[in-house]
Amino acid sequence: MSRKFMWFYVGLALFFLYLPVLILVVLSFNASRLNVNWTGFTFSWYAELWRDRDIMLAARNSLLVAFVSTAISTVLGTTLALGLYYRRDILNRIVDGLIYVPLVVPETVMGISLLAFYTKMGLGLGLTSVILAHVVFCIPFVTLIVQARLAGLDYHILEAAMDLGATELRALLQVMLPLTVPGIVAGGLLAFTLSLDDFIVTFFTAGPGATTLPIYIYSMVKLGVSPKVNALSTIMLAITAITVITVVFLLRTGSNGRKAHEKAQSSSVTGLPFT
Amino acid sequence: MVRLEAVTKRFGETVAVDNVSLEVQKGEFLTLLGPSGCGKTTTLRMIAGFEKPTCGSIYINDRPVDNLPPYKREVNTVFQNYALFPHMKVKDNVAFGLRIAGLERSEIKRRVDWALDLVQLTSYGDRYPHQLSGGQQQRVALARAIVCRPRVLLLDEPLGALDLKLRKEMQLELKSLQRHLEMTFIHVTHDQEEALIISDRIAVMESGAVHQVASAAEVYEKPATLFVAQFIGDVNILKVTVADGDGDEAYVQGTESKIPIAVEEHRRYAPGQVLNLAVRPEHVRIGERGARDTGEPQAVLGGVVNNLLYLGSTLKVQVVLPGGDTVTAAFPNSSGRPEFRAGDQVCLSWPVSAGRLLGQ
Ligand SMILES: Nc1ncnc2c1ncn2[C@@H]1O[C@H](COP(=O)(O)OP(=O)(O)O)[C@@H](O)[C@H]1O
Ligand SMILES: [Mg+2]
Repeated sequence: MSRKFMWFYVGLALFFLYLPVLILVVLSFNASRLNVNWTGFTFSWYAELWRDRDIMLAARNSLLVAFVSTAISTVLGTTLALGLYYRRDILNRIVDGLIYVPLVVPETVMGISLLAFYTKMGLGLGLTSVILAHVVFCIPFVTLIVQARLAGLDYHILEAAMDLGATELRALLQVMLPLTVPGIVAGGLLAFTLSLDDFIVTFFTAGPGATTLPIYIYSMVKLGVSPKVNALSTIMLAITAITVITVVFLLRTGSNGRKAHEKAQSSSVTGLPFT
Repeated sequence: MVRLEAVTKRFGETVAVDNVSLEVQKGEFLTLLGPSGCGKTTTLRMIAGFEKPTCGSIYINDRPVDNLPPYKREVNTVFQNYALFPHMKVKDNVAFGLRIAGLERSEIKRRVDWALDLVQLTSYGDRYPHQLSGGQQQRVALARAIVCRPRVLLLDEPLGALDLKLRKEMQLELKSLQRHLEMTFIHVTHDQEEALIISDRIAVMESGAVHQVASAAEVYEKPATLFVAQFIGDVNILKVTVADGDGDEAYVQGTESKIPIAVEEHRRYAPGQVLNLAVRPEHVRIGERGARDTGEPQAVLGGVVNNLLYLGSTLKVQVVLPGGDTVTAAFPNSSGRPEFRAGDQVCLSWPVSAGRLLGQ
């Protein structure tokens, strides 16, 4: 009985979550321009996308913003996580707490405040301002994921490196950094997807020449949902899904590798008479 | 080689290490022994440079090291959980310190081979730490630390995670390794038997304080405090009150009996003073009346046999005194079965010099 209810519940959730997406994907291959009735299979909407100069420009902008802001935020976020890891003083604890702020600030508020800030600083709106804004909201995600990875490592490893003569910096770079790579890559990929489909912050900080895909789609939809939008959305969905699946995979293998390591250690602990 | 001068370490309210002074000689195997949480690890970490003393100073090779970071100290550590670098092969783990030191490739290879050979892991260089057993990982940690040829090697419960049999083997190996290398070892354990077997000297710690620093035999036979007597080996503790007179006799509390106590020149006890008398079970004799031994003065008490415990190599006899305290006597089983049984009225005795008087 309760089991049946559970399946019903799960089914309902899946229905509302995935059916709209599924419909969108299916319709992107629909020959009908009117969107509702299936009249035949076609790739023409995808081909049309390819020929649409505005869309290609927006796609180019989106990818450029995503790549650059991912690179910057991954480097900065990782550095921050490593710096916070090795020294636990008051200042670091405050910074540690402040990392979460961009995660909880409503995106609209962040967009408006960044807009006001850039204007005040005399920074013209354009791709640069969008990239900077994306870096701002991507850093905390990268830092948190790298921190999670670091938290799973044995702190004594860092101390062992220093014990063997490595300075703090060298110990962090030669020992902790390689061990953190799965977290760094996962953080970077997450930053990439966040940047790629961000709408609100981009909306506030993009100038006229810096239209990204989500903004462009929004403007297309205002004129009515065309099958082209479906095709474009399907492509974005595919990119995001692949990235997220990779992230999940990386985080899992990362922690599995760690588990194997711990297992090897704890297997010897089982016969332990003390502790 | 290593000297601690009045070193104290506080973590907020907790006093982890309390005014510890300690001198470790060159080439010595010193063990910090004490129950969990008594400050052993903290002491070691201060020597390694991972913690700063709240007050007091530490000297390594007669040089104050209070302002030296870990990577500038001529000590290496074998960590409790080994802390091997999981992403490096065994040989790279061992080579790590040498590479940092900037040694030549050929020299690094020679030293790594030497160290792996020393810990009998010659053919394991290309494995990763997680492909090794606990005992092998422990050896890698050891090799990684000694390959740098530190002046002092710090070992934090290095055998704690090994099973009993392997641990016994490794105790002897560690000891012979230390002799072979002529390196100063500071070793931490909560296992008193390990400390007795392995050490030249033992520093017994409790609640952050060092109670006694002495050889295994001295710590066992002449414990400085009640804690040391009770922590190391089995011991009978009797509360005694010093009798009127020369202070060479005392009443055993809860009984009418007066027994002679050892008087040392430098330490006289005032009549009425309450002390703990510590006697090891192997010194206690049981006879039907009085002691058989002659020559040495004996302390004699009457009691009733309560329990006989057969422990293989020894037989333990528990005797209840009139006051309700229990005294245990231990006999080697090779000396034949004693002919008394539970319920028998017997005389306990021990040489006066075997009884050690300790304050609270
Ligand atoms: N980093 C720390 N912060 C706070 N308290 C600590 C810290 N390290 C150790 N302590 C405390 O200091 C005491 C001694 O710890 P430790 O040196 O690890 O003992 P042991 O190694 O003898 O088991 C314990 O009470 C422990 O809780
Ligand atoms: Mg400890």
